[in-house]
Amino acid sequence: MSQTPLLSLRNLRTMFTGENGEVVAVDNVSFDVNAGEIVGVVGESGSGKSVTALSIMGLLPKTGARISGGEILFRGRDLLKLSSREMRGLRGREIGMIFQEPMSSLNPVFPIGDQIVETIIAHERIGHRAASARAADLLNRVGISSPARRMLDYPHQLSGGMRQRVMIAIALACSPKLLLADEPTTALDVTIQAQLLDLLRDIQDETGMAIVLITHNMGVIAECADRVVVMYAGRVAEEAPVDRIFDAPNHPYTVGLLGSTPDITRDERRLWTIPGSLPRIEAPPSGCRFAPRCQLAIADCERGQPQAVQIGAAHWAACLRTQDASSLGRKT
Amino acid sequence: MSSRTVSETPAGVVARKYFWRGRIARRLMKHRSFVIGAVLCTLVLLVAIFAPLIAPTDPNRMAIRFRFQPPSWDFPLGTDNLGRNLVSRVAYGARLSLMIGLGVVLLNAAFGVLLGALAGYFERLDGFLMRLSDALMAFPSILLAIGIAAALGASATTAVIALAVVYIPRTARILRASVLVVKEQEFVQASQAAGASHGRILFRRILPNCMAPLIVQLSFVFAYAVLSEAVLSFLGLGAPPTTPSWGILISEGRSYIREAPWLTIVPGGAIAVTVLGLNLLGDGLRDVLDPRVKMDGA
Repeated sequence: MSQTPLLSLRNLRTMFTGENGEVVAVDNVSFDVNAGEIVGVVGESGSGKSVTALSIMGLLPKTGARISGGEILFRGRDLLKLSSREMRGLRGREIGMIFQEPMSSLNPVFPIGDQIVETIIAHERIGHRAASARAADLLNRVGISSPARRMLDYPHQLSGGMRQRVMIAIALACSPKLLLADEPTTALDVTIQAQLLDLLRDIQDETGMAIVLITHNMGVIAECADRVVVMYAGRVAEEAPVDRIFDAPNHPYTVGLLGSTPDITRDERRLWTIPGSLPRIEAPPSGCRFAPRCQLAIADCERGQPQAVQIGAAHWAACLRTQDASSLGRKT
Repeated sequence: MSSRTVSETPAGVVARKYFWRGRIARRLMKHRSFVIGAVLCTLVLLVAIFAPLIAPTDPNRMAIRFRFQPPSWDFPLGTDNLGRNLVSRVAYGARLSLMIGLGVVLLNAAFGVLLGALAGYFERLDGFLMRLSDALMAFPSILLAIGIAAALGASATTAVIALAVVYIPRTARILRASVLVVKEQEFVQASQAAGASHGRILFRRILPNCMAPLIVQLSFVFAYAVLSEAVLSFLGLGAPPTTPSWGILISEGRSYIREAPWLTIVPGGAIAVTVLGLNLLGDGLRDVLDPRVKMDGA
């Protein structure tokens, strides 16, 4: 694919100022999202997935967080250089976002219809009537029946799945080119998860919108994503097309992540776990951040951050021992 | 409910009708303390509006012959030391008290909400605005009101300004606290993600979520204003003595409290009824207007 990507992160670095000085939450993260593609970003809690999304949106907390380096190119423009006014015009209109908690992402004191209408009116010169009609269409499209009546409901009258559908409708209100979905299904039960993922896929098929799907759930990735970015402790560990991630992972962390996902085709009593936990962000290991937990770590791993190695078409892994990692994958 | 299509009825309009005619009104009517409060407030309001019809005589008309008449058939609430009919005086006093209370509430709502919202939302303004309000709140409220009223000269308008200044920091504080809580909720970030501006987020998204404590606070401010106006008038810093404010009535009646207790009891009772009514009304509104407090028992 030689087209210019819709979104392109280049060495993004986001820092937080804590009590003990600055910590790097997202370190040197680069990846592309092409138009019409679903990119899964996967990693443990605290791996920097959500901070990456908020960096793209320019919604990092005003105090204590800053982007200290890199570029976020969206359709060729560096979002980090836009004024806050320009960013505001972009949010919702060109880049939509849905959040993890459908319970709290809707304003409790307004009927949901008003909330969709407001978003449309904020971005487009359109009358209230036309906006209402479009809001009803949107609700219909995200699978809410009798939308005209539902528009009068307050968020607390809807179930979690319905609320997330409403959030999707709001995110879609101005047909954005890119949708950032930050753990959109984590708070929902499994059947609703599946419905919503189907919905996202359908909408993506219809509109050709690109989706960045942030999750810690490998099943969600397998279901939806075209390409996968695996993050660990603020860095990209591995990036590959979805089938390569599942069939031939080349980073020991990806292998561990896959091994710790239950799989009914495998015949084993206990799930594999990765020993240890995420390194403390205030004091990251000097070399590869995964080294302290890695079965394959060698002395070199602690010497410097491993560079991303190209393994195949659109497949990179930031590991010195990619070859051994792939064989490790076959064993577990 | 019939299945309407959107083209027939714009949803926003339907929503508003639904809101006002349906649930809210019905639930308010079921709320006992709201109903009692509303009845008491309406009563006081009617007395204020129809004071000229209720009053048998001009409130300042003296009839020395009938001075210190205890309540009787001819003088239902008695007469004062100059023979003025207390019915007239209390009825006209209601006008003044309610007007001053309303003025204070309006000023308070406008400035308290604005300052509180700005302080809560913009961290940079917070320190300055809140230290300013600390400075005002450091004075005992009545003392501050007396100071301001004394500096500006005694009149009803001065009383309104003085009392508004005294209560604005309190309202601002309460609103700031709610804004601080609400602005951290995820839907605020969601609105930002949808491209809403600061003004829109603050005034259209956050403030409506802060209404419940604000309404209660304003009902209390109204009550306090009625009470404090009486105090200011009592001390000679409110309305001029010729106007029959409730505070002035008490002040004048004080000298004869042993011989003619109705001179203090009647206006005092009027103040008590008004304040009670306003408090009950505020509590009821808080319970019902806040959609988070359970909407329809479902």
